[in-house]
Amino acid sequence: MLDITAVSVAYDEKTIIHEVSLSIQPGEIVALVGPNGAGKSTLLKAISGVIPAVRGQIHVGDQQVRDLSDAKRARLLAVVPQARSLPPHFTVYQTVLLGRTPYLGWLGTTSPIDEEAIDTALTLANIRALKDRWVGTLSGGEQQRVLLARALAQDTPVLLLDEPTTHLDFRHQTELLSLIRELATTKKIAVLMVLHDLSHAGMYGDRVALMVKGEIKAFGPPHQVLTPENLSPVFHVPITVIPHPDTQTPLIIPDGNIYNKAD
Amino acid sequence: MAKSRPYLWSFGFLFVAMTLSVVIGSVLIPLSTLGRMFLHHISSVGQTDWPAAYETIVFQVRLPHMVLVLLTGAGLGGSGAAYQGLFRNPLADPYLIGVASGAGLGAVIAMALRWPVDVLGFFTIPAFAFFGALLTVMVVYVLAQVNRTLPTTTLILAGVAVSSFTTAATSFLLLASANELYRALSWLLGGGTIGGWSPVGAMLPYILVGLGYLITTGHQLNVLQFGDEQAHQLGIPVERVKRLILVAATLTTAAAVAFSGLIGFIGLIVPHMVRIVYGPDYRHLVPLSIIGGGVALLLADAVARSILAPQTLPVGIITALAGAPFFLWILRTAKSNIHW
Repeated sequence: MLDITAVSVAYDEKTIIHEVSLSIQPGEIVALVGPNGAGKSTLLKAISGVIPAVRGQIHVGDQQVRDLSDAKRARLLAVVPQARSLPPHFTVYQTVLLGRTPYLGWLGTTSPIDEEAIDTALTLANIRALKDRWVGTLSGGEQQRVLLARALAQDTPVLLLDEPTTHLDFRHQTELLSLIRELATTKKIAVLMVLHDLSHAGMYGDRVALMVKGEIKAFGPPHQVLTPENLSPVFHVPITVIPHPDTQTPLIIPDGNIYNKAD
Repeated sequence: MAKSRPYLWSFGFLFVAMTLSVVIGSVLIPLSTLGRMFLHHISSVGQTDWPAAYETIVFQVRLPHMVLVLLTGAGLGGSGAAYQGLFRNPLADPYLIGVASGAGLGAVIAMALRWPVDVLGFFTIPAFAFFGALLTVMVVYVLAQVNRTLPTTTLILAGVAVSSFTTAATSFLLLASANELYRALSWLLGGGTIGGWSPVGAMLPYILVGLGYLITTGHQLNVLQFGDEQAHQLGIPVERVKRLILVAATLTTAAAVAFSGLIGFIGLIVPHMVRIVYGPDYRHLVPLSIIGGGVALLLADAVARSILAPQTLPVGIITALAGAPFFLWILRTAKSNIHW
């Protein structure tokens, strides 16, 4: 569904991303992991057209993204940003309504189709009860779900998420990721999600892409990518990987020697 | 429906303010007479039992003046709301990026140079003010461009810098041509209104096109509140939309100040008052600020004409003198409801 072919991105002639290729099927979650500054967020910006790719191609289905108008692109690709500095005095409903931007007429008037899409998005993100609340009065977890609902209202086959769990506590992290897993599966959405928590990447990603210094070092099923051999040199930390007792997905923890050294 | 109620109130206030503006003046025209005059004018019904001078006062003097003030106030209110949304800054007003200082310089140049009045007649000063405003904003616009984008921060900073420069040039001209000082000062305080229907006709197209476009941008302004990056990802052609809003608001403001001088406060305060009463949704904030701007300026103008009658005070003095305490009162009453 989302096909990225040899994409390079440069800021002021300094290349940030070198010939990255990724493909994501409908209903599949690809977790994008890597150290700070690896270019993960930049890659999401390039895919969503915020910054242009200097080389390479990005396709959604058979459509080349850079050939599309802003509105057409926003009907194919939705982005869930981090819930930071949202305008506090919009209601939840007004915020989710903005997801319908690529479908609205010139006066910004909504049709019954738009209202149904908003209603569905509020229900899926489990925030219907909050719809008349001001976004500024919500908790971080609720705000993140508002942004997810806004992206769902865009009704796109591809969803990009930039560290959606960063400001959430343990319970909300788990709830949000489970919700995204469920949506990907039931609505056949192709999901590309930047995650810092490697164990979450192993648990929720169908495949994991490890990005280092603007390049994809490894791309494949979690147990092939999330190995001590791949991760330790990249994060400069000795790493142990053990299987999750229930799901057998890799759990990534720092090597015990670190603890002893600090002691 | 709850959505239509603020419009009902606004149009109600507008009607009262418009009527007041025509009734009040050196000759007080009774409301009943005014009603019958309009009826007679439209359908030739009834007797013409009022003094003949009333015809001239109402249809040649007060009505065009009322429409001019209404358009000016509406233009300032609407472009103020748009500027605040565009710059995402509660201190933004229609003068932020040089319209006022440019118009001021243009007007003072016209007065100081004593440009042959017969070239443009009464339109010399408005024309100079209008093009002074546009020229200044263009300079700011060009200076603020970075790699074919228009970051709002550089736009504000360039606006402030260019404005100080043009204001200084205006002050110099003012002092250098002391005999025009009173007229120039009065213009700079919003006392530059020209009588008759021709200024109304000259400014109408700019105001109609400018405000007409701004009314359609409510949803886009809402999206822009989330920042350029998210606006782009939600499907807005960010740079193009920002430029169009800027051009529309600037044309509107330039036309508004050209025919009346620099009227402060309306473009800053009216959108905030609408926000306090009705909330921050730009789809309603822009049209309600347009109506509110018209109401506010009509009322201020009525006060400016009556307080030292028959002398007329520059209306900018009234908008600041009465507007500031009124706004502070609302600010205190609203307390936590400042939607910014």
